[in-house]
Amino acid sequence: MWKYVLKRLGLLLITTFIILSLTYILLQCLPVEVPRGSKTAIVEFYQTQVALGYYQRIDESMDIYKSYITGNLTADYKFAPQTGSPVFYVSLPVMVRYFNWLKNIVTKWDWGTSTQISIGQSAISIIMRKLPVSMKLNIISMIISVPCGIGLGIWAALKKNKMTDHIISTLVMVFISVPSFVLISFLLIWLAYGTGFVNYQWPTIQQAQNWVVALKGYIIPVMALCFGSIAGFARYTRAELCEVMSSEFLLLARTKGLTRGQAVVKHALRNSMVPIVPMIIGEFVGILSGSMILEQLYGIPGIGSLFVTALTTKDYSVVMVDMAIYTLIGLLATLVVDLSYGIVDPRIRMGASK
Amino acid sequence: MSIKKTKAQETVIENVSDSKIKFDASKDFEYVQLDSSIHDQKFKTKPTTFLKDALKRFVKNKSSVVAASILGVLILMAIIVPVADKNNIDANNDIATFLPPKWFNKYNGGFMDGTGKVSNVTLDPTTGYPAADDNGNYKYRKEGVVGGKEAIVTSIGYADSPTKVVLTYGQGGTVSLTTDKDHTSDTYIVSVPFQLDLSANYDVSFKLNKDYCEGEGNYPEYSFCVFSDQKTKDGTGIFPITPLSTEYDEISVSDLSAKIQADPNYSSSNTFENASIGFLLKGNVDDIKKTLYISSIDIKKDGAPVTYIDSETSEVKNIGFLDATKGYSSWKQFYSLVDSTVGLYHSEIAVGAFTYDYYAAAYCNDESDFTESDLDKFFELGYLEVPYEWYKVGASSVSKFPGDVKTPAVYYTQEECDAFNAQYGLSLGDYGYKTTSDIKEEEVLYTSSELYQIAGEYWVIDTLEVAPLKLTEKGERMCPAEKALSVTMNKFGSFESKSLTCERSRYKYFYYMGYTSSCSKINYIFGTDSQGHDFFKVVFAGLLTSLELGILASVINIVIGVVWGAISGYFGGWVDVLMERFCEILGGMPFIVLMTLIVLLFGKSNFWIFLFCLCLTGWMGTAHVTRSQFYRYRGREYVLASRTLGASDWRLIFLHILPNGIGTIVTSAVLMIPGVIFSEASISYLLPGALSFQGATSFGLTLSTAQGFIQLYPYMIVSSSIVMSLIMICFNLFGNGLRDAFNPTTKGAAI
Repeated sequence: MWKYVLKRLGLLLITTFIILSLTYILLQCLPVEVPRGSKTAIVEFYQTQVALGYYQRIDESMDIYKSYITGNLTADYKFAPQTGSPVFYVSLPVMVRYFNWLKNIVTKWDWGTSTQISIGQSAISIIMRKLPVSMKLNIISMIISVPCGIGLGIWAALKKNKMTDHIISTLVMVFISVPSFVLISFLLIWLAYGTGFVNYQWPTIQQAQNWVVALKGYIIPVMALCFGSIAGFARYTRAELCEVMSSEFLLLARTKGLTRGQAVVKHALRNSMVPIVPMIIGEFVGILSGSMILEQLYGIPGIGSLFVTALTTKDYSVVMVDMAIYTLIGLLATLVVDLSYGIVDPRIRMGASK
Repeated sequence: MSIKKTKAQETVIENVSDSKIKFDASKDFEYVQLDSSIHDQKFKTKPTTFLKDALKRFVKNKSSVVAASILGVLILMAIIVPVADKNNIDANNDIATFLPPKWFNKYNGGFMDGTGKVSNVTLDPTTGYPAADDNGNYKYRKEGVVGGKEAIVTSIGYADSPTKVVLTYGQGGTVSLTTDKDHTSDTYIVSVPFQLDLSANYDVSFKLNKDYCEGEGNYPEYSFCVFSDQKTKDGTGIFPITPLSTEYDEISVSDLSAKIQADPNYSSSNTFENASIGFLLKGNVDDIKKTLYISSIDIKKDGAPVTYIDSETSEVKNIGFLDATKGYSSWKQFYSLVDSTVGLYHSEIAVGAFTYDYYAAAYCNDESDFTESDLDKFFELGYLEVPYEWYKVGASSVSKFPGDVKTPAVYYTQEECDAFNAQYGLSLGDYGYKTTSDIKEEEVLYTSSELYQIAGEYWVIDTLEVAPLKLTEKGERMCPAEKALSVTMNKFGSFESKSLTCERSRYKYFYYMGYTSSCSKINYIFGTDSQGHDFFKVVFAGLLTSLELGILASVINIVIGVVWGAISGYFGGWVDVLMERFCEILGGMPFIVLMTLIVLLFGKSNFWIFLFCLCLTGWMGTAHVTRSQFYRYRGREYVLASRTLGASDWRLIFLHILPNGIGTIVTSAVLMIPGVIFSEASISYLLPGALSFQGATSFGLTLSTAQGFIQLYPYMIVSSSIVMSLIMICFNLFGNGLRDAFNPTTKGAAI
């Protein structure tokens, strides 16, 4: 068991490493976005890049300096101070930058600095500032959706092929199919613009000091996140429970004298939870990544909207850290799901050969 | 083995033994199938194929059938609507923007009848109808007001910004002077300069509004001052009249001159040529914005108002204001130092609430000009009758040459013109005219080529006004120019120009410009968008693009996925491990990153690049399913048997194992289409800039654009979202139905 877990963890790290490396190299092939504004800001940007080991600063002391002065070699940026001779900034080859990037992470845990979003701050600190918002939101929605979803699923399964089941199944079908952004739009029209009950944007820090406003801010995002997962859980639970309910061991349980309620609670539910518990765990890990569209539409300052902003403004350091988190979470989720199968269902043994 | 015999059976057996009949095998029996060749017989029942069987099962699933038919209708509409609906969705129609959906022509209380209730609309008190905005455009036209101006419910509103409309129609209120949060220097609000004679008696009264200052500590410290142009002893030129205080009330100062003279900074001069009155606002150091609200200031010199001459309009105006709104515009020289804003606060303005018919407003006739090329086009299209014999209609004016009166006709030869040119120092062309300072303005010089002979007399043809517009029968129906208000036709020698000011029928104009498909009023069932496009067509044109994208992507993904999964699952071992790892790495990269990378690498995005992005990772799901299928089937006996008989790998893969999964593949293809539509829409929402289709707009872009107008024009997002939801629900129901039909054992299970 432990051997298997370790093996999987090792594989996970290797995969993460390859994905991030590939992304980094690909991102470095894209054009660099130098911050607009004063000369000092541009020079500062290049100085940071030099410090990170992505660019080379060429000054008089270097032999190669002459060919830049004559124009035989072209530099990315020429800084000509009012006094003194000009300085050139030249980008290093992609692979050199890549190894410097790796070195920075391994030796200093330095993932680079933001060049666009909040200039000069370390990318990791920006992410750490935004992560709690996304996490809080998703954990709240998870806490609501798990009991609701499973409860609805059980209810539908117990009333199978009756009116209750039909209504629940139809609603589940609708909420699974309707995309989240459509749901958010309708919630906005209904709750924010129609009744004016909640704010149409995530409350700002000033607004959030009023706890009622802060609490109301959660209504739309939590609802938008909940409906989909409630529907998912309900459908899964209903399908599993229906299957278990028609199995022979449940008939046996009834014949030996258990009431319907006892049979369902003691035998059917436990067995139907086998695939559902991993699903919950998987989603619990997966939700950390949040919902990009929700964050974008409702103006939530989480890592999802940060990722989109970083990508559009070409703030590659932030993109890389954000991606690292997403990749790691995604792969961890699959791993945890696989492992939890073995924990929940003793019949499944981890790493057993076929 | 003992068999209990019933009584009846016993009797029968006894009877048989009693009758003593002897069996003759050759007589009593015959061979039924003697000498006939025996082989399998055809089934009496109709043969059924796998697909027919699945179809039979599918038809029984009612919800899936309903979903399939709705889906069919939607797909048909996506194909037909962009072709059949002739409304133009490429050209921008600025007039018909944001028309709400209209299904019924009858007024329906605002439900789908093209009307809506609007309130807080600034009214023009002179007409009683909504006022034009600062640029002279009417957001609400009077033609659209249902029930006319009697139906407008008016009330008093407060305007807080000094727009042109507010300054024109508003009254009262206060002038506000707001300091920035943390600036420390003093700020001034200063009147227009005027002459201050210290020997005269000045009475000043002003009123500050206290009620608008909100919250504790927001009361700024102020002092009423006289600002002189002369350097005072302290060098500022400011004479504080009232001490710095936070007292807000109506304050009168009667001995202004005496106070100035008593000021320690006062030097000898008795007259200030450019003095101003105003307020000094103490700089603050706390972190609160402070605003001084001035309702009125009045200054009287010996009981008479003090005046100044407006430099722009040369009008004589009073210094000070009793009405802050009026004062704001006339008291032009409010100025202040660093970081403060002078504004208008709570100016009273008449606002109205009414039901507005957007269609009536968009389609009403309006006065407009048509250019020469428009008119030429109208002639060409046969809307207008034969060109006017315009020169026969008559001269509108006969002008005369300076100093030489020949009424009503004047005629000058070229020589005469040259002589005049020489005399007056002019340089006239063949048909030009020029006015100089020594010729009076209304006198215009004409040369020979401008003069036309009518009935033996020479007329100066200047401007002809032609009254009614002569429309042909076709023109009556389709010409956007309806009733001519004035037609001018100028002819100078070989140069002609025509122009037409007329009543324009807008719906005919929309047709003429190609915006709409018919020459009559159109009801847009989904309304129009920000560019005046028929949103119904926009939605379905976008849906068509998205469906094309979905179908193409799912076909490509299925092909790649099946081949990949087949190879991976069939061969297993190292091949499988490597292929799986490859999938894991490629699949681990977020789709949005891949998408952005590719778009940025290509430099632009279009349909095909987007398709490429979708296919880059989209096949993995199918590959996974196919792989597991191959794992299950590759060891089966029939595969083994086939292999023993010498079947090649290719044959085993595609002819023996793959057909087992045909149901799964069809189902996943159908379920992949909504997935692709969803991905496309998500990307459009997240990176609307990165993704832009040339030519056609995708459904996702339509949705994300509509999202931007959710507050003001929610009907767009509602209609497109409903179509989107319908498509997704129907595709899912249809796909689930297919899955159940192909694999009845999983009926009702989760996907």
